[in-house]
Amino acid sequence: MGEVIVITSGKGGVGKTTTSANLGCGLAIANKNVVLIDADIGLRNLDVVMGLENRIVYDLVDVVEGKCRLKQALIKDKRYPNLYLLAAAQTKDKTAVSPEQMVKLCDALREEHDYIIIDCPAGIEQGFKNAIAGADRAIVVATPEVSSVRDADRIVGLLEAAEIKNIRLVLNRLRPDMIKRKEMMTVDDVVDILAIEVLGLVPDDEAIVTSTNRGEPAVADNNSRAGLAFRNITQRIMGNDVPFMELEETGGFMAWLKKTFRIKN
Amino acid sequence: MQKDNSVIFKGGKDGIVIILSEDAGYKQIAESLREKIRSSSRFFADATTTVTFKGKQLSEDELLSLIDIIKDEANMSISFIEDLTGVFEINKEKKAEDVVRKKPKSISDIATDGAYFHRSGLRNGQAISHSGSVVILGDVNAGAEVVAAGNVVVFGAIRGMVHAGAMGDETAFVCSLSMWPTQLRIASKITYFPKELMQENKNKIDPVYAFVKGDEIYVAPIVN
Repeated sequence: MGEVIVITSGKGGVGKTTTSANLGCGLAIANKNVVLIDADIGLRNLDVVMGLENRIVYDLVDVVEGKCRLKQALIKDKRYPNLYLLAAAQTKDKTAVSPEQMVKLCDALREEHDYIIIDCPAGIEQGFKNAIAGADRAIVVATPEVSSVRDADRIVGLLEAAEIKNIRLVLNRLRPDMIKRKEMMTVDDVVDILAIEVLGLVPDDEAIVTSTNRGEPAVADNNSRAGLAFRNITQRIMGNDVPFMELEETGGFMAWLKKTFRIKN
Repeated sequence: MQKDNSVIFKGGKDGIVIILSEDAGYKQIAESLREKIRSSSRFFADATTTVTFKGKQLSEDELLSLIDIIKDEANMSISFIEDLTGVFEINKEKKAEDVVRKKPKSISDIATDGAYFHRSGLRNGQAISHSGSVVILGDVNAGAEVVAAGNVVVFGAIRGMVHAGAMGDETAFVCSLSMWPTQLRIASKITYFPKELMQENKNKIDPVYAFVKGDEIYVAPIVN
């Protein structure tokens, strides 16, 4: 039985789609059978980030409307044969799908795949409700900015209300130099407010912009620091204990990080 | 037939505003109120709300019977009564709270006088309002709201908005393990905290309580 994980954030532009694409590829590299679902109907992006835009024939809405079989709509990734994408429809809106239909869809996919990763749209309306309906666990993506953390807090409240028990945090775009200068919220500050367990810390990395534009997720790039962070998160999703990476090249930060919020390695 | 304007309902920000016509007599007002609630009872059904009276000045007893009419007809529980007609202005010792408490209609009315215990924190977008005191076992995060007629006790940090003594009780207090609210209200007093102080102290555990003295809200450490 596969596991359904929703990647959500509330605020837009904090890295939900990037995280979804990287975790999907990461899990596929680890030989898991993975389906990525883009739940952002009308504003789809995941296909672009995955570099699969030109292969879409059927989409999520076609599946729930019964216009095609589920298998027909699963686009096989060009790099990993055990990774599939279920693209969002671009010419419809969020109301084209209901939460009940999403639950049914997730249950069907669970039968044959190890992980189903849902890329949630920004906001807390219908699209969000659809995306979380069938989820077993949630990954909340936030950046260390007050507005992002506020929205993440709201999202965690809604996820708790929807009785999703396993909620973890991915803190994206960390800038150790700025934290040091006290110009950015620390990991500790964010965890203090959100009171959920950290799944991963992703440093700000220019390589993400280029890899996203090229449609080649950074997780496969051994030279990318963000890629390393996503590889670690992938391991933790599969239940393996991996120490948190040093966000900076220079030592000492890790020790500080461990000390300040007592990470269990 | 002339339209009956002796009682007008308005949906206010925090509940229902009932405007009483200056020209109508009490009897006419009472009848019109009963009639209007009856004809739209579905709208009022089982709600808990704040009622504010505006317009014509009535005696205390008359206002109380109007409240009874609302309760009887609408099956509604009234959490706050605010009176802008001036009756309770004159007699300042009488708080709106007493008006509700004076004539409890049923056991459920009395039960709401007790403190409410919330067994988790409040996140952004979550809100609690209660006609008694509120105890919260967790943090009240920014964007969350707690409104209580009585005191508010938070076993955690306050980062959002807390309003104690919301029905006008200036003796109400707020206490918490760390107090950096977006805004703090007690009765009709409103305050906020200087941002610079917050930056330095936001993660400290520092049990304090806030209360009204004179015209201002004071915050003092809890010490033995």
